[in-house]
Amino acid sequence: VLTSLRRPDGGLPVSLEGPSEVEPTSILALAIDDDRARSWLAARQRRDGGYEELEGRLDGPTTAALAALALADAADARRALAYAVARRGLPLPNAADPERRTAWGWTGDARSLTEPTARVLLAVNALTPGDEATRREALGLLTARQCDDGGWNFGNASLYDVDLRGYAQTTAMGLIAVQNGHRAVVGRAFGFLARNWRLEPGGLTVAQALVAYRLHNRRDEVPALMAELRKIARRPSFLARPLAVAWATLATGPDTLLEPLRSRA
Amino acid sequence: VSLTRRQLVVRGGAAALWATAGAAFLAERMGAFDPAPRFDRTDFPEPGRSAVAVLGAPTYEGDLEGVVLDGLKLVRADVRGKSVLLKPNLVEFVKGSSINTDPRMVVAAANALRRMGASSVVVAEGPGHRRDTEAIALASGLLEALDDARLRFVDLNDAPLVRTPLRTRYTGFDALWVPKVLRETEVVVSMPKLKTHHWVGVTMSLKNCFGCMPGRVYGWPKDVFHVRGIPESILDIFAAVRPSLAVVDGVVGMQGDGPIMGDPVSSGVVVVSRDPVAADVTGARLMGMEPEKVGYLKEAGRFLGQARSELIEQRGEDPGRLTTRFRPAPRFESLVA
Repeated sequence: VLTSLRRPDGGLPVSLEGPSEVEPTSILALAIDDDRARSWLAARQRRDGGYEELEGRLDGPTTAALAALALADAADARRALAYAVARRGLPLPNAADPERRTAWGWTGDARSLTEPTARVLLAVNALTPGDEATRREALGLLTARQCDDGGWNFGNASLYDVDLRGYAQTTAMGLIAVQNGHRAVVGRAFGFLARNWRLEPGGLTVAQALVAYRLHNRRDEVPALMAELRKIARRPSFLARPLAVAWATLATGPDTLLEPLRSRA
Repeated sequence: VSLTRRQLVVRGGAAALWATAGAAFLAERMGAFDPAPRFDRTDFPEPGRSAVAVLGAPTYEGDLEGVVLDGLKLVRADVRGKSVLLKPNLVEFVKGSSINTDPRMVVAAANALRRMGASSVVVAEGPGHRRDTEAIALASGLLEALDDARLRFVDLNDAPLVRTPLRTRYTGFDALWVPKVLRETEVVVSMPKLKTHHWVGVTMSLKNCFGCMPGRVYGWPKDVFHVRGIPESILDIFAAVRPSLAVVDGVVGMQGDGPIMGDPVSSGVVVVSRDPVAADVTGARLMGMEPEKVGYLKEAGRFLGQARSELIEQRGEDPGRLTTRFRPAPRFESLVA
């Protein structure tokens, strides 16, 4: 299914009607260990390491971190990751130093949030594990923003003294990034994910949850997640989502395909 | 009240992520915008008189399609032979809550528009908080309802985009990336929930257009617009999307700490208008609020639609009879009429 969704240029779109984009093409490259997708990524990388989407819009800086995991050439990967790491998000409005950027946001002019920070941590753990400062910075945000229920949402644990809920998909991405150690954070997050992934039965959520369980070598929910993905794979609303299909392919593939995501820290 | 260390960390840091921005906004935005217009009158003529239909609908089990059809006829909506896109509010899903436009209302509106002669109807939304649109559309029952009604769903977070130059100057953006489907559809219908909102007081047709902005460009929760200012963003986004119809789901609304954490309130009303600004002004009154005190609505009334009550003709049922006094969002008590 995944290769049938590929564009003639070798990349993968996020929607059936759209052009190839960096994020889905990066996951495609990882999911089927695909040289055409890697070539697509290499050909579109700018000299500064970042990417520009086909319509001409500047891409969010942390998609370069995902591309870094997929690029074949180590120098290209380092440039992509360096680009992402250097483009931190805006500080909180009440930050002690309002000029100091910390962690990562969806864009260069947005505040730092969960998933973009998780992307950077994932890539740093895998590619530059000696970069302790960046790892600490990312983990600091993820620890502070973990919700009271153990999950992560877009990036806010409470608002006006009301605890906010975590989301299964974002929690799975957090767990994919936070791999070694950090037992308390990881244990609470898996507790949340086990309680909630069935309540949020989207293909992307279930696929990323399965990747998280496999990366952490936790087998408890794997059979149920696999069974759910088999059901989801028949759903037209899932098949219309190439990014989710790519994650599902990665989630159900052999262990070797998960190696690029494993932390070396 | 004693706080744990973790609570202190969260409430001292992460909690302030948007709360502080919200407080800052409150101080600045309860009043009017600067008098200097941030639009050109040649692009946006002075709004004329508008008509708004207010209809009673005590439950979702009744003839909602008939109610919406009556509303469309009362405001003389013309969709014959036109492609239509319904944009409900599906910002977030929590079981038992009243966050989102009810799927039954969406299907009722689609069927009413089909009966009015629409050549095609699709439903589209780009949920604001969650990346997995399929998950939220499934959990909320929207996808199943649309499948049963043979309606296609378009995820605006993922849809192909077109750069749309702005003719307004509120956020500082010179253009927005807008899903092509919104440009290619002849009639865009904003279908919000009737809710209070803890940052802008009330949320309906105008604020609902945040969900038209693609998450893969602007992030989740469309955070770029929070940074640029929510009232400012409402105006730029609405001006770029420009829905030509509003159908407000006030059968069950949300009061208090909306748009997510508030409480359901049985308000039993549906609002229909070809002027979304007039629909929102009327919706605010139906919640027992004074729309003149909502900064972004007042500003929108200068160029995007009619906000002056004396120039809005109420049709359908008696709005006074259908008014339910909503508990305002925290810190918005001054909006209460």
